[in-house]
Amino acid sequence: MGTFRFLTLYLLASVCVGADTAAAQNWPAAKPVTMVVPFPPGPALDLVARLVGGKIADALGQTIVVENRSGANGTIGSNLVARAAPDGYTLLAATAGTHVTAVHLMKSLPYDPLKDFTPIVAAVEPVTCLAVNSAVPVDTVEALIAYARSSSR
Amino acid sequence: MMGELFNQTAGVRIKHVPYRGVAPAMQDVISGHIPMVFISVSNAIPAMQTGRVKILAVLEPTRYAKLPQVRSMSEIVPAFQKPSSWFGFLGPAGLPHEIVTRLNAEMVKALNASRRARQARGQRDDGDRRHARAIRRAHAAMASCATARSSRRQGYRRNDGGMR
Repeated sequence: MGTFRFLTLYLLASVCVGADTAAAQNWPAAKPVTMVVPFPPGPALDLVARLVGGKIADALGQTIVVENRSGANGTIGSNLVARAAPDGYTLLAATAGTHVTAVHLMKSLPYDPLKDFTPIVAAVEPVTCLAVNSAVPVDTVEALIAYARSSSR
Repeated sequence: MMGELFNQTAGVRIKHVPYRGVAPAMQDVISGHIPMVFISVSNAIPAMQTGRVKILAVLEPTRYAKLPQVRSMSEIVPAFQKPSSWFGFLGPAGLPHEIVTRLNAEMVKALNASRRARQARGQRDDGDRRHARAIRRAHAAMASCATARSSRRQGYRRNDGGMR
């Protein structure tokens, strides 16, 4: 009886594991993939998500539905994905804002930006700069620092 | 955040004006309402070309190929090390590795097939593990920045107490 129960459990377990692997292998055959953009349509992140979504849809043979779920600096949409099943049918277009800065700017964050997500790819890492209005009387950062120090005194 | 980092590493106290988006921030620098901004080069270059702004430094560890005459901030203020800003794709925790690998490959292909996306991309390594590492590093940098800031605030408070 003990052996029988063990065998049944063993078989059940292997069926479950098998089903999971099969689901991952057949992905994304079952249904359209939702890509959550946690901001309103328009800004750069939305454009990148739509560009990538449109292109990978052909390769994957599945529709990618881009869904704008904006609010609370992108944390509402991000939280939706944090709580979704990790089956590949719910993805997130994120930014350093939703996954790094938000931790320090918001009083409470409904998700853990490291533990609740699986990073897939950093799509675009923009080059940033320090720009000043042409009328500001400095041409170098050194001069700007000196200018800032003298004007704060 | 970049402003706070600059204040700490360059030893200045420049006041922050948080903006809801890059477009209004850039507009206010062009019109002279605010003197300076930390912003992506793609937002600043058009205004630089028409002579309305000057780009003093690139905030990445190295110079930018399209603005070779502009120095990197790390050449000027070595302590200034900005965590990478990025747009990226993530799934929920526990996403099977087969799916991550497949998505990573298809997304990289899609990005490289677009001329505009290719131009905007600065990175050389597209691995999902690298993305994870970059996020962790950014958190560490932010945490140290926030700690320095709060301890400085406590310092101010102590000084105020002494004045009374």
